[in-house]
Amino acid sequence: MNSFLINECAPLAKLGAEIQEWSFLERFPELAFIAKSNNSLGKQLEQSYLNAVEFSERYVAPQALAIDKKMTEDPHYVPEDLLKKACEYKLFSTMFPAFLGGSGLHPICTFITYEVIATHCVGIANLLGVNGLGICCVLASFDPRGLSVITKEICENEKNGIPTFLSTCVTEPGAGSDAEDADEFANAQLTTTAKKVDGGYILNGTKIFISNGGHAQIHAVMTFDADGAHTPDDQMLLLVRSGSKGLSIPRLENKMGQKACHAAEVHFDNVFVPENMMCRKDESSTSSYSYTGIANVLGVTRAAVGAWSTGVAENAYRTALRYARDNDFLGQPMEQQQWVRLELAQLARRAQVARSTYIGALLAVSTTGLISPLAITQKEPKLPDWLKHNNTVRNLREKVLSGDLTHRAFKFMAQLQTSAERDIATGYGDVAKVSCSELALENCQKAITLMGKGGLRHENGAEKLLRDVRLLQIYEGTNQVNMLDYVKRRVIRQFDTQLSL
Amino acid sequence: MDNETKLILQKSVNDWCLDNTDLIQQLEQPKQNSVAANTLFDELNQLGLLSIFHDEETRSEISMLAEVGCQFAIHSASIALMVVQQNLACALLAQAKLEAPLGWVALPLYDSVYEWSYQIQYEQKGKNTITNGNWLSISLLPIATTLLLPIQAKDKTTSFAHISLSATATKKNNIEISPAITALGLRGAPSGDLKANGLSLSEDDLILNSTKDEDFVTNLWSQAEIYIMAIRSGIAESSYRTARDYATERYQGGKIIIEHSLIRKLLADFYREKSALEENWRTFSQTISPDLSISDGLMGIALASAEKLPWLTSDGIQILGGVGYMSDFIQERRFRDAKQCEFLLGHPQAKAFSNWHADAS
Repeated sequence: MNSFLINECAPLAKLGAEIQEWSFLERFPELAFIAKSNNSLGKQLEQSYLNAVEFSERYVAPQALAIDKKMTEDPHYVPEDLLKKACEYKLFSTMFPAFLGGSGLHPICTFITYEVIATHCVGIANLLGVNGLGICCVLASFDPRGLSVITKEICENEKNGIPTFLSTCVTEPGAGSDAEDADEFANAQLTTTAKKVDGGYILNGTKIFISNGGHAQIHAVMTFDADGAHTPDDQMLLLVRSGSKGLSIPRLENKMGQKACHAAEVHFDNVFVPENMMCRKDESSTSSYSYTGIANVLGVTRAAVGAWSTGVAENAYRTALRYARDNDFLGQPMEQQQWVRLELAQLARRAQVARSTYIGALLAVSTTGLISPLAITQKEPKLPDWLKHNNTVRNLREKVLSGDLTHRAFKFMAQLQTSAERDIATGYGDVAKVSCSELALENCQKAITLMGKGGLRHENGAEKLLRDVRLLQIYEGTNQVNMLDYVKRRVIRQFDTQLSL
Repeated sequence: MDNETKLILQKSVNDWCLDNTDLIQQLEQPKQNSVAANTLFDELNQLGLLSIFHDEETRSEISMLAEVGCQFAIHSASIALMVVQQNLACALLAQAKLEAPLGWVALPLYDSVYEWSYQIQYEQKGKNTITNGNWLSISLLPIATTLLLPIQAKDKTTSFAHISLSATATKKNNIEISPAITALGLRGAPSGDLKANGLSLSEDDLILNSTKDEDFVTNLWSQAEIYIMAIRSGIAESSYRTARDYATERYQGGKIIIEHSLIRKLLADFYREKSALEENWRTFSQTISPDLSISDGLMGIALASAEKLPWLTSDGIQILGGVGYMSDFIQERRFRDAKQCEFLLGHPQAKAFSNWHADAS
């Protein structure tokens, strides 16, 4: 046996050498190129990356496996210390514009932050980052009133070290991926409804697989108008507080992986939702609320799944690399065998391809999609501090934000987006989600195969990765649904005469 | 095995599993349940399923054990593995003219014959063999009463140390056994680590010392690929059935899932692959001789099945969507078990190298 297994190569590094994190340029050369032409953006991106690396290395990596094990035994466990640290690093408000009290960073900063966290634990990336899905849903309603309610609460709590979770309630027992597709939404068997009453709405229904649903302070609930015809135009988004009478959490789901972020069933039994917690419907005659809204959300959130997947792919590569450094195969050091090096290179290659794919989607979404307005509204008006914190000024700002004029201005901005632009953003999001999640799954499978029986053991990390990664092909619409959407966004558009879009 | 016997066997195993769903559930919990494992041993031992290979009359019944493994795997791959492993142990003990054990036997089922010599250090002191070091992931070690540990003897042939695992015996023998390791799959059939601190083995402890015995061991391990293929086939079968049944009951986009051609394609491709897996082990289990190792071609097919199954069961999850990721329909367990099964009988690359080695040299 040993006659053909030779130590062909020198060790990869000196004995005891640790794997170092890449510099910003080494990890994101595409973004570094863009940053060269925009110094301010460059600084934001690099600083976000360094913060994410520091947070992940100090607080995520050391306890990722322990949290996974703990939450397998007790799904109600909440890693309080980690969440407090996340507040210090402002991870709950990274994607909010400065005029709403957020960090004012370019949206791309959020995505690279979560790729880095997912490189150490995608469950924790989901726990901290899933707020972004709810934010996007509210943002897509182009109702600054709803956005203001959420951002104010999240940002103020964050300053006080209190993590605030926003869950997004879409999936129901009878409606899964179809509820996350702009065209199929009308056919989905969504039964949650909101009936108009004096001063608000009465909400009834059940949502399942809701990330952070068990401890979210606010739930963004996709629902239909009970008195409507159940068409996309009857769809609405309600913001429901966790303490509301009639709201209950019947159970936490028993998921295979991503244990750090639990999924819950959320039940609404005659829950009263005040008027001001409803994100207004778009009354545009050119496009329905649901179509533009959902399509715009998916362009962003699917690119986000691409970022998380890339983190997992990178993690699989590093896990296998560490294992190969420390272990033998048939009596020879793994790292010194050429075939093992080839496998390691393939793992690194897939992670790099995934990264380029989701960065491409991000650039598309930043140019033509939902976050393009965010990308140009980052700067807060320069006011003296005494005026910034003046209650009258703050109240006035809130009134302006929640007023009809601002709503109309937001809608106007939204209508500037052409259907072609929307399809570019969403189509690229589809590709990022599918490609990156598939590359990540392949990396996890191959990493374990390389490691052999050692890959099956929890303490070596790879088995957790395989359990975690499998969800990435499912949420934000299954990969198959994403690809059918891609046909609509990109393939059909290539014809000079189109039946419908 | 004739067709009638096969059908009776299938029905018996299936009925037993349906009657013992609580026991299966207890075994498959993330935490080791020794009580459930002992109950399982008593139940299956009474049925004679744990000593098929100890009985002179049925020792050559390769297809029978494969059938039992496949049928159990439809309900619980862990139990299927335990049954197969116990029978492999019985075959080794019978070859050494020793009695069938009254408890589970631990075997290093995650290592191929070619990997055994790299797991632990051996030193010859007089007539005794002294062993030191760790042998990781020995199947059933935490619940076993006996361990059959391969030992590289002074003449470089492999024998087995027959070690009793009672608390007093382990202290005497200078060995430590870890609690069940947290593994990806097959959690009902727990693995543990063995730490040998100068474990001294006399000639009496070593069984199967002759060259003939070594051939027997090599052939047994080689033929075991058939049983593991059968277990994989059972996992694929159950994942397919669950996906098909789910697709005929649930709605998506306004119609039953199975009415989407995309789902039909997924199911049709799954059916093709799981049928091929089944056909492979059934065909080969009828043809191989108990006295020979399997052919290089069959080893290739076994390795291909190991590589294929995690992707098949991944599709089994995908057809169910989010539900498939939750424990309710146990598709996630099949996915985990499938990946764990990839490493039964050794590292796939080690097996591929050894399969090719004779040709290269």
